[in-house]
Amino acid sequence: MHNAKILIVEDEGIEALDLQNRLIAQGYTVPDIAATGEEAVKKTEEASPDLVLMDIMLHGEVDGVTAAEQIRARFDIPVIYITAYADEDTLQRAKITEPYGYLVKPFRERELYVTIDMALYKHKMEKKLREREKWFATTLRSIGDAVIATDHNGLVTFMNPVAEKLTGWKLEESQNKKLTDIFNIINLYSRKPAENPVTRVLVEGLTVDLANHTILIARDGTEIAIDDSAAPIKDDKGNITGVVLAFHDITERKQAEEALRKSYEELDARVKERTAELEKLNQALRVEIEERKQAEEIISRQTQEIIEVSTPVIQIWEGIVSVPLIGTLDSMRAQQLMEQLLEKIVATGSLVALLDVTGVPAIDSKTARHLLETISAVRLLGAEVVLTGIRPAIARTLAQLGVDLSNVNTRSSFSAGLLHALTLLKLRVVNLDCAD
Amino acid sequence: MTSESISVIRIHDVLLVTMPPDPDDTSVTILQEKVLNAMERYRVKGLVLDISAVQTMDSFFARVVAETAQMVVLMGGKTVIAGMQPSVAITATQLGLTLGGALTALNADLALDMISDTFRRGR
Repeated sequence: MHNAKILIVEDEGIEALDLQNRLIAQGYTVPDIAATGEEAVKKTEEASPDLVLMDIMLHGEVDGVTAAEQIRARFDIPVIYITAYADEDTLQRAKITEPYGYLVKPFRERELYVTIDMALYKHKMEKKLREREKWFATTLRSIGDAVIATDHNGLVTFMNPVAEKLTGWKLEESQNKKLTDIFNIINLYSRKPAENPVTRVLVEGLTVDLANHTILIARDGTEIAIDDSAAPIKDDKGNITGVVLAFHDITERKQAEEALRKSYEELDARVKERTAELEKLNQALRVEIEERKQAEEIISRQTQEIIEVSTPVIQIWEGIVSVPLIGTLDSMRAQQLMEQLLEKIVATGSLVALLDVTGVPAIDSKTARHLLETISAVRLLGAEVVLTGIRPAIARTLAQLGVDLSNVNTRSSFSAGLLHALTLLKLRVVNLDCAD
Repeated sequence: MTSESISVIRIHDVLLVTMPPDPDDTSVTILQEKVLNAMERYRVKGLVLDISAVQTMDSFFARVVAETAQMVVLMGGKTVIAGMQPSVAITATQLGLTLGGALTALNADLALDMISDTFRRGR
């Protein structure tokens, strides 16, 4: 890594200059040279080099190890120690500061460059690794699901904030505790402890989902419905080195489901209620229909009776029957009239029937046809019909309709008809005074 | 009903035939034959056809009766159909059946009155 900025810390001026020249010749930049420990820290801060070449033995209060310690802690800049000699104690101290290299004077030029490049590379890689770790940690911290990781013995190694919140345990408290101590789960219905997923993962080596209706009992006794899964953490060789458990709070979902179920039940109950009401209404309607049917039957029977009553066939003299027609003569009534009239004629042996239409408001072609039919039926029996009560209006209608009544005895009034009937029977009405 | 069972009876100057309850086509045809023969053989004024027992009348029967009546008229007599049941009269009317020149009477008694002076009641 050329062009890297290297700070030299060396109390021997000539040696420092020599080192500087050699580094520059090799393509590095040397922004400054420090002669003491304090100066080294100060100039590191000012120049922010990529690397520090540090002589362990320095004049002054602060030696190279102490200065390196401060630089490492404050600036995260790699340090390579250079020394001519060192006692065991100093070396031990130097080791603790995690130096990136250690050059013993006199060293060869090539050795210097290799050590510098290695240190720069190692530092770069470590930085990258730290960033990745940080990124992963941040990711785990920021996801919405609770995550707990354990080692291969089921001891907790990591918890994210969501997991801390749900379980009620802090990461610091729970580290190296058994998962079962902080992740206490039971079945919602049986209230019995649920199977620990971590144990299963460690045994089976597969990802497992937790059974439904799992309740997590937090540290303070709060019960939380959860939904979760556990997966093994494997190393490059496929050995299980731990388990990662991810779960989340489904209380709200459960509540929503419950609410949905309740509202469904309510709806169902209401539908049933309405159905029952409708059924009741239906029944009432059926009863009403039945009642109406009966009423209709009564009306129809009464209609029949009225028709019968409305066409009374009366024998008004021996050999003469009379029917005063009142109201409209429809087919049904015409049939009724015909039957009754014919029966009466046969029963009384009447030769003349007086059919009086005074009470008929109007005669149309249909009514006229009914009348003609009745007349011809009466004639088939061997009796005669006298149609009476032909008012001017009816006479006009009959003429205009072209009803042929030329073969029928017709009279305008009932009394004229009666007189005609008597004549047909060869009877005569006489005034007794005149007869005397 | 066999045709033999229908008899044409002469009483004075009138032929009297009583129809069975349900006359078939053959018997009415034979009846016509018998009546015409009797008309020729006896000096009679007419025919009285008593159908008071008949419950149903079809168009064939009606036509034969109408024809017979016309023939009797042509041979110088009268035909009177007597005692038609009301139900038969209604059916006949509704079917539009006519009896041609035949007269009608409520019963055989009145029918005889209509034809013959012999039977006319004194008034």
